[in-house]
Amino acid sequence: MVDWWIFSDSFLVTLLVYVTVALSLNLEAGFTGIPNFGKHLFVFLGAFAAQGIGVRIAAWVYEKLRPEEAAQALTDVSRLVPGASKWTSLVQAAADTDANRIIVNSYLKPFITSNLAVEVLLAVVILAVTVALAMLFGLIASYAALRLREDYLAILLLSFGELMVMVIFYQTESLSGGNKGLWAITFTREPIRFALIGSAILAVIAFLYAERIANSPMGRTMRAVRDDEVAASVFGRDIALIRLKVIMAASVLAALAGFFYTESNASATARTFNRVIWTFLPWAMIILGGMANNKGAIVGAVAFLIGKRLFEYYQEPIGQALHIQAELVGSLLPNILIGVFILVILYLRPQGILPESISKTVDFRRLLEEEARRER
Amino acid sequence: MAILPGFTYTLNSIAYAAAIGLLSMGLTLTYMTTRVPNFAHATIGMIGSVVMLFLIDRVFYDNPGWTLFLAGPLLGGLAAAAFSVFMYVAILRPLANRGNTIIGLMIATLAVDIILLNILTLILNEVPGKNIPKLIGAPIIGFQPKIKIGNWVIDSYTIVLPLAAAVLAVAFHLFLTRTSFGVAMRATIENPDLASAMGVNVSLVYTVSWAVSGFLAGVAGALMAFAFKGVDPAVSALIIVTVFAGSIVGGLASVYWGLLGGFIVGLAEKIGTTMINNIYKALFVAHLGFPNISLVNYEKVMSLGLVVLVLLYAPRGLAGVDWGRLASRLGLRRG
Amino acid sequence: MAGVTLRTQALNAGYGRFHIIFDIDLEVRRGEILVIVGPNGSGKSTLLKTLFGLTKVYSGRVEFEGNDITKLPPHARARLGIAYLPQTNNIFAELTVRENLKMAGYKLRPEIVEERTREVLELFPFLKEKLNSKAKTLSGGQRQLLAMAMALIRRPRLLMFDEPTAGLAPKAAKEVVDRILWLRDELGKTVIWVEQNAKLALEKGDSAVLMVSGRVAYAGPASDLLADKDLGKRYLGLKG
Repeated sequence: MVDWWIFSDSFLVTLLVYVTVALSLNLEAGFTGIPNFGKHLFVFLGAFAAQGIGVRIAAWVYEKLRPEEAAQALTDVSRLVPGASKWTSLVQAAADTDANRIIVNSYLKPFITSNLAVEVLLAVVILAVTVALAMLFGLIASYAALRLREDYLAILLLSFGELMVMVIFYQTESLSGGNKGLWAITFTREPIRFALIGSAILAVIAFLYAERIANSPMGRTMRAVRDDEVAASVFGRDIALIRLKVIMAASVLAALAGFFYTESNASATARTFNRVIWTFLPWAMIILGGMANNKGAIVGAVAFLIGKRLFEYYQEPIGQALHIQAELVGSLLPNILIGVFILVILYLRPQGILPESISKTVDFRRLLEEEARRER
Repeated sequence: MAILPGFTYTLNSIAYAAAIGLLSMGLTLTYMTTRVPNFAHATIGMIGSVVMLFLIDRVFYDNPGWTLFLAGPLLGGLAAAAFSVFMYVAILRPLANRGNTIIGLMIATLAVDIILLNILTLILNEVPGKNIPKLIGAPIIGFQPKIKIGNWVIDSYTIVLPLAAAVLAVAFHLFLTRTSFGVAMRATIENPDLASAMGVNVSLVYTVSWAVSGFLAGVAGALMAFAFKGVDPAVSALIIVTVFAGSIVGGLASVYWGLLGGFIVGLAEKIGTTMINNIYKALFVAHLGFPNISLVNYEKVMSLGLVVLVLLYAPRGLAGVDWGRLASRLGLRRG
Repeated sequence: MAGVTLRTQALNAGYGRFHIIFDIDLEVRRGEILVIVGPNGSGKSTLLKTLFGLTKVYSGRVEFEGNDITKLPPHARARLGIAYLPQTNNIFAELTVRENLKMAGYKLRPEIVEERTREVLELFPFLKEKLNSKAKTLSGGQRQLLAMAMALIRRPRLLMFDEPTAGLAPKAAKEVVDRILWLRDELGKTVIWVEQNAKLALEKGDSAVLMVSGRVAYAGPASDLLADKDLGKRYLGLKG
């Protein structure tokens, strides 16, 4: 029997976060036909806002509001961590890989949780940063998305995602802590609860928004456009705006998901936001659930994560049976299985398990007729 | 302070660029025939690296020599070609026949990439070496024959890799122009319907294109194994970005421009970044007080930058540029 | 019946669910030119594609020299001696003329291809100077002639042209038409010729089929259709 504790609070957060990411990818790929192969970047942006940017903002506020304590903190850390004399301010030290853990956990967290006004304000600011970052990168992505054919776009988004996460953010230690990563600013005395509630609200918002889009005239137009070149030319003038809107919304949703995921883990490392688990896995989920089907995306996310969790749980016996080191079972075999699974789904049901619901899609001929009538 | 990189570094860079060129060439070929951007291409190249590693461990450990440089690329290329054909015939073709869209097929290549990468990693972790204790991450740079010119000792892979690229490019060109199957391949790329009306087995042409593509990748991977600090299939995750950059810069419409595009991007990544870094250090850090960081780590910015430039100013890549007109406009040629 | 090269009976065909041509009965006798005319979208090209096996046949029958070929795929029809020349993309623009001719004889033995290439070059002398140039450097008319030369490499008995003069300058168009007549007169080939320019085609052809909305509105001697003021005026824009 499976112990129920393996489906812990942090597993629930992961689940809700993946539901959000899958829904947001579905908005892009399923409804608008934007093959976002750089999803991991957008998820990472939320993580970056919580750690790299969050600790700096928190340290800055700390320095402003409690200058003596902050100075004391800097002195304490300098004594504990070698090579500390190079830091001139707590902001600098807070984002340093060596000093980060002590500063965040011993000084910033007690400070934040002791002052409700500061805590709320900080949470709002960091969420705003997440949204702003997501919109900035969404704008860059949409610039490409409005101009390129889907295969070029897929290549470019994948390359862009890899470049930003694996080269810029990962290589530059001062941004997000490089190989060691950084501890993030968390909220309330039970950060996991905060993350759970936040990610639950986010998932609900994502679902309602995606459903609204799917059943709105805009959503129908998008699907017509995705499926038919004639329709695409008829609606040409509206498409650019719709695509822009969708990319923006999807980017913000993904980044917020990354934020709450990081909140539940209390830390993040750029390297772990790789394209396998944050781009390919969400793709696998929406393909399993059926492209352009929101409920399907949720079903896909839940199915994959429970499967993955069970696999991790049983990695020891599986490893023994296959004569493979247990840690490799946990890290390599799930990837192989996910890959195989995707190929099988693509083969058996190119349209997914729950296919796109026909009833809500307007017949594209009728759509053209409506359009023609309006023109008359 | 010297702006130009050193001699050894330049040789290494040219070898790297040649490997990227071979990979971009193969990627372009399968894109031209079957229209699928193959995200597993760099990992297919890693099969060559793994074969090279096993050959050294099992066969050539005590007396590595020039035969290693013949056997490694050949067997590595064949193994990669076999996998590439398997991928097309057993996975992509059935999926396309089942009505998957191009996005579905791209996802499938990503899936194959993940499967292959993890299997290769698993093999290198789990299969014990005969002579090399731990295969994953094992450095093999010492197993290549040394070339000595006076006091210079040159890593021979840096000579062999560009040479192999040149030989393979010429051989493939002869295949495309001198053999009737090669002509049929070009015909199929241009107009598959007409080619099949002429009696060409289009499906066989596609399969052969995947075989050639895999072979080129395997040769590149086998020789590139000497460039890494240690053989680890995971490097393919970043190499694929450069390979796609090379293909897009080349235009994805001609194998020769694919080779050249990959070569240009590879050189720009290594030599271009180093030169910019040297200038940055000499000027901005020394005189203007900029932070003393190494720009060499950001070499991938160079390849993506080139892609962006090409997509903005020459969307059909270098292959789509009218070079004659450009030359006359620049006053290089009367016309 | 002797002398009939191709015959269809109650042929219904289209693309997928789109039924385009209905109950087609036609007959081409050996050594004659059958022209197919009709207004735009009347199914002329679809009919030609159907004869070459490029559409979905719902019912009916196609016979070539007395054999039922309804179910044969295009390449099998080509092997039997039918050549189909689509309106565009009928040559490989990126290949040289020599390579185009080589492709035309792809399934034949090399020495046969060589021999027939020599013959074809005698028939189309302008190709000799262009052998090593890419086909895209040829003019529109020359491309149609190259396509014809490629078809001849396989020694077909029936050649089917889909609007071979479309988009050509009058002089080039005349040259192509002359070559079609020459195919019949000098080489004894049977020709099916879909043409937008009805007057031109009806003047040159032996028999004619008028297609209207996917059905045969007239079948018989070309001269009679040319003389029929009612049909000509209504469907072909011929002056009365």
